[in-house]
Parts: sequence; structure tokens; C-alpha cells
Amino acid sequence: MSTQNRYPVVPTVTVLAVMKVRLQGATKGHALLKKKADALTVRFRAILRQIIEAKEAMGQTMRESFFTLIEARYAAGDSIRHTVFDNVEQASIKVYAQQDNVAGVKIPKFEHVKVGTGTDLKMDLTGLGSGGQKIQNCRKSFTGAVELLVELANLQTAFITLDEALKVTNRRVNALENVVKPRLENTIAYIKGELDELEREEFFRLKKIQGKKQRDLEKIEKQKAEAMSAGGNAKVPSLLAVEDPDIVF
Amino acid sequence: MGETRAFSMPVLIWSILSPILISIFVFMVRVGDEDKFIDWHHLHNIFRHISPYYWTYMGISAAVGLSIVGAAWGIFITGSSLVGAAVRTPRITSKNLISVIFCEAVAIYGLIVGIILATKAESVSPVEGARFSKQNMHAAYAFFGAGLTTGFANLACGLCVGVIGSSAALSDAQNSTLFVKILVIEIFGSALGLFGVIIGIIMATNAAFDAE
Amino acid sequence: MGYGFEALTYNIKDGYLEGIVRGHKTGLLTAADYNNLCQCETLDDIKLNLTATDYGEYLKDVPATLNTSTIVERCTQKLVDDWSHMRAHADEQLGTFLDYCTYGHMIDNVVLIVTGTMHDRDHTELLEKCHPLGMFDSIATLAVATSMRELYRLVLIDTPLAPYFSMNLTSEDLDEMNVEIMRNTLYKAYLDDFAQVCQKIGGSTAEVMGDMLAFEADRRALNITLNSIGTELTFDDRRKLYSNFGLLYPHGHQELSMAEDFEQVRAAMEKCPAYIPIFSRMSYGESQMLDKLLYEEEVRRSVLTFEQQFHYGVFYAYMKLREQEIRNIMWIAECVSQDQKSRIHDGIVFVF
Repeated sequence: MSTQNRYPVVPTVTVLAVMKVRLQGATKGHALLKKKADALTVRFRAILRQIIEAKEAMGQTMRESFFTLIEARYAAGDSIRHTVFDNVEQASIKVYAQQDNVAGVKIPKFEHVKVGTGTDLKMDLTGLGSGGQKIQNCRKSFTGAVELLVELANLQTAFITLDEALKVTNRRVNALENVVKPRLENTIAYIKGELDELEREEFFRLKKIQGKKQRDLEKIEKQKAEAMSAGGNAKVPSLLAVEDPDIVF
Repeated sequence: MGETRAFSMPVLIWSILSPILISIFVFMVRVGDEDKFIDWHHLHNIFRHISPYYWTYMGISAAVGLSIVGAAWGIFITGSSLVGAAVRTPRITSKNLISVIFCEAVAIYGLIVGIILATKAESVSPVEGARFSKQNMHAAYAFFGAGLTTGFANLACGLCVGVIGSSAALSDAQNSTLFVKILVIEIFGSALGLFGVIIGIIMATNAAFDAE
Repeated sequence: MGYGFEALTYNIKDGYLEGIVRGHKTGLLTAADYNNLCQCETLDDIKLNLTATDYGEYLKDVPATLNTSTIVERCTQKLVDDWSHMRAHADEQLGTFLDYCTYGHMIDNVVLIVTGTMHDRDHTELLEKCHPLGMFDSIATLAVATSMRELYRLVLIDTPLAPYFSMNLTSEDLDEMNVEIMRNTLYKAYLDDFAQVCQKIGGSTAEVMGDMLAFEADRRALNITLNSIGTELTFDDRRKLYSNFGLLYPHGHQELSMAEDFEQVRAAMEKCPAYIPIFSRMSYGESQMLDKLLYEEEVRRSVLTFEQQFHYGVFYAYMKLREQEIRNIMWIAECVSQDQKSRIHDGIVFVF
């Protein structure tokens, strides 16, 4: 908090006024950003909780899904996957991207949509001779897993975007609070101090001048009295011959 | 559905063929007397005039030939299984050589009986006209019978030992403790040939040609 | 030779191969092997355990990054090598029989090719996916065919499966039919034909194979019924996919074709005494275990065929047992790699 931490300004009254306005602006901005940061943090925490839940569910679901895959391969034979691959013409689940707005931050949002195609009908009969049911099971559980995966992707993207936004906002809040505002305050204090100093100097000078004037006046009075007493009528010096002191006040 | 098809063809063929064969046989033996269905007298004449050498050497060839057919058959049944099973478990080869030796023994039985019969064959001449003496005919039939008995007994024995030997090889390859147990069965199978040999030798020794 | 006399003639041509196939059967994994495999913690452990068995030579030079499909592939290679070795040594009739055993895979391959051609897949890629046991000579000309009709005219007509195509499918069917229905139609024709061939061979082959194929046909009927419940397959179409023999033929098939849920299927199956034990091991309303129980039954029957000698059933049974073993290995490897060891015993069917 030395004198270094201030703006290099000329300590004048106008500059003081400008600085005061800036300090006011900074305070207001700080308050607003703080609010935004709080809003984001609340959302952030909520997403974090959801992510943890989703991840736990994900672990379980993926594990079960892959197990149904083994069951299907066990029951229907290893070559069934080629048949399944070949029968797929079109994705049955599609993901659409949208945008969500949280306290001015744009967050990408994914939504999955099931597309009903002819593939469904065809797939119903896959593994008719052996293991068809297991394949259907597998398909169902993986559909669930994909849905969960989209959900998780959604949350994770939101998480990262929010994280970024939150960092920026917090940095701004901190910058305002710890750098801009103290600096402005210091500047104001400095200007005020400088102005006071100037005033004090002026006062002192005035006092000095006043003293000198007093002394001069006394001297003249004394001379006048001496002249009166010595010469009685000693020649009164012409007023023009006497040099007047500068009139200040 | 399939089983009836598997049976019906042979059954059909034989049901047509057997009456024909019987009629042919009957036609052959009734030559000489048209009134009788089977002319026993004529039949008797035919058999009386066949030479004892014929019966004797037929007996010998049956004994040796059938025995060796049996032995050979048994050896290839055993052998091919043994070779196949030994690809994975070579340890069975020397043990299962016993099965092959059992089959080989069957050929030796036939050989022994053949030699005995051959040493007994002597030259005889017909007594009255084309006929031979009773003793000679007896000897001829006895040798023929001995040969057939030995031959067929050894044929069956060879097959039996062969099949068991093949099973023995396969089961020994799976589980070596089974070998001894199956070997017992194989010995019993092998004994069957001996029965034929014993009867053959008894038949042969009881008869002899009446050599002048 | 009729019943009981194969013993005398069988070994003339096939004795050597019977010895061979029984030798291969000794090489199947035992319960102790499976127990060791179940203790494994990683795929490398599994590989190490398998190295001590017949698969050792095939797993010797696997890449460092081991995965389940590599193991399964190598194990399948063992079966394929065994099989082609036996096929090369087989004399006629046994050769035909061995070929017939592999037609099931061939049907899978053909169906794969048909769907691949329909979707214009790359031919070399298709060939890689084909099961090596189901390869046929004309498969090399696959690249020539561009349309379905050409595919049939140039490639499929030369396969042994051509009669099944020409008898059961029209050229429109090739384009439009659902591949699964096509596959099962072909399979039905194949099973019928195989059963007839076995009966023609006669003797204990007919007896043993009749039993095995009847079970296979019934199992397919059961599976088709269970898997088509709730789909658009009509009762008549379903009925057409059942084979024309087996213990369920024809009354059981009538009932199965009408079945609408698992309990009805169960009721239909339980009328056949041979299948009561299978279903009695399942609690009421439970159908998840069925696959394994059917596999167990198949293995049981396959092992039983080895109790008789001088018949061809052992070759078929050996193939079935090896395939089951590969399935077991796949199951164990997957369970180990996915850390689901608690369920490891759900899928293993012990051979001995």
C-alpha cells in the first residue's frame, strides 16, 4: 500500500472527481460480477453432483451392457456381429445440439432422439435360430447406455463450459476487488493528501506575509514617532518617495 | 422313416431271390427222377463219387484260408484304429501290439490244423468202380469238417479279436487303466478260435486214410 | 452292411480317422483346466493356462496386447486345422459326412455374402468375416458378382447349398426376404437333407446321428419359437422354418407354432419326455438359463456318441464339443477381462 500502487496522475481536483467516478463504477461492477459468479457456482455445483451420479450409473450400465453383449455372443455365436453390422442402415438414435443460457453463459446442450426406421423390424428377427432374445436384450441395454452416454456428454460439456466461464468471472471479480479498487482508493487518498499539503503551505505563507507586514508597519510607526520627536517638523518624506509593499490581500 | 428304408431294400431283394434259388437247387438235384421233389438217390450218388482228395484239400484250404482271412481282417480292424489312436498317444502302440498278436495267433491256429491235415492226406484208390471204401470216405469227410470248423471258428474269432482290439486301442488311448480289463475280454474272444482248433484236431486224429 | 456289422467294414476306410478324432477329443479341456482358467486374473494368465493344453501351439506367437477375440480366433483355428486334416484323410462317404457337418457354417457364410452384396460391401472384407469351416470353392469368384441374381448364378450355384436355394427360395426372395428367414429356411433344408444322408449311411451312424440331429432340429424349433414371439413373423411362416423330423415333429411343431409366450412353449416341450429334465431344471417363468441348459444337453449327447464305436457321429460330436469349448473360453476370457468373475460359472459347460 505504498504510494507506488496508484495511477500516475496529477493531483488536481478534476482528476480527483474522475477517480471518484471510476471507483464508484468499479464497486458496482464488482457487485454485479460477484452475483454472476455466485449464480454460476450454484449451477456448477448442481452439474457436478449430476455428473457424479451419472458416472456411477454409467459404470454400472456399461458393465451390464457389455455383459449382455457377451451373453449374446455366447448364445448366438461370434459371427452374429457381422450380421448385425450388415443389417444396420441408419442410426436409430440421433443427437441434436442446442444452446442453453445460464447467467449470460451459453452452454451447449445435447438431446437424443430415437429415429424409428426399418432397421428395427429387421433387427427383431436377428438370431432367430439361436440367441435372438439375448441379442434383443443386448440391444435394449445398449440403447439405455447410449442414452445415458448422451446425458453424460451433455453434463460434461456444460461442466467444462461453466468451469471456463466461472474462472473468467472469478478472475474479474478478484481483479476488481484486489487490484483496481485498492489502486483507485490509493490514488484518491494520494490526491487528497497532496491537495491538503498544498493548502497547508498556502496558509503558512499567508501567516508569514502577515507577520512581515506587521513588522514593517511597526517600523514605520517607530520612524514616524522618532521624526516627530527629533525634528518636530522634520521634513515629512513625500509619500511618493516611499515604496509601497506589494498588496497581496 | 429312415430305418424302414434301410431294411426294405435287402428284404425285398431276398424275398424275390430266395424262392428262385431254392427252385434252382431243387431242379438240379431232382435230375434222374421226375416224380420226386428231391431225388435223394441221385444226391447220394453225386456225393459218393466225389474224390476224398477233394474233400481233404478243400478242408485244408478252408482251414488255412478262412483263418488267414479272419486274422487279416482282425489285424486291419485293430491296426487302423491303433494307428489312428497312436497319433495322439504313442504310448499305446507297444501295448496294443498284443491285439495284433492275438489276431496273428488265429492265423497260426489255421496253419497248425492245415499242417496236421496235410500230413494225414495219403493216396488212396477206389475200391469198386468209382467208389471209395467207407473208411476213406469217413476220413475225407472228417478232414473236410475239421477244416471248415477250424476255418469258420477262426474267421469269427479273428473278427471278434479284431473288433475288440480296435476298441482296446481306442479306450487305452483315452484311459490307460482300461487296457487290462479289455485285454481279458480279448483273451476270451481269442479262446473261441481254440475251440474250433481243438475240435478240428480231434476230428482229424480220429480219422485216417486206409492206405494200401 | 446292415445293423451291427459296421464293426467289420467300418475300419476299412475310417478306422484311422476314428482313432484320430478320439485322440482330438482327449485334447478337450477338462474340468480341472476350466477350474484353473476360472482362477485367472488377466488374459495373460488365461493364455498361460491354455499354453499347457492343445491350444499351446496356436497361442505361442500372439501379439503382446492380448484380447478376447484373438484368443477365440486362435482356438477356432485349432478346430479348423483339425478338421481340414481329417477332411483330407477322409475316404468317400465319410468325406461327404464331414462336408455336411460344415454346411451349417457355410449357410452362415452364404447369408453373410448375400447381405454384404446387398449393401455393396467390399469383397475382401466379406471374405475375412467368413467362418473358415464354411468356405467353398466358388467363394473366390465372389468379386465378380455385382447383383443378387449374378451372385446366385455365378457363386451360389456351385456351392453344395444350391439345391436348398433352388428348392426353397425364388429369385425374388433373394432380393426381398429378410436374411434371418432366409438363413433359417436354408438351415431347415440343410438339416432335413443331413438327416436323410445319415439315414442312408445307415447302421449306428443313422442311430447316433438321428439322435443328435433330432435334438438340433428341436432346439432350433424351440429357439425360433422363443425368438419370434412378439415379432411380425406369422404362425405359418414360423411353422415353415421347423425341420421335418425330430422328436417334436409333427405334433410338437403344431403346438410350438401357436405358442405366444414362454409358458406355452414350455408346455409344448414338456410333452416330449426327453426334454422334461431340461425344463424341470428351470424355475417357473425363467427363460434366461435356457441357452446354457440346451448347450449342456447338446454336450451330454455329444459325449455319449463317443460311447459307441464304428460310426460317423463322433466327428459331428467332436465339432460340437470343440465349438462349445471355444464358447466357454470366450465366456471366461470376457468375464475375466470385464471383471465379472462372479458370473463366470454361468456360461461354462463342462465337457467331462
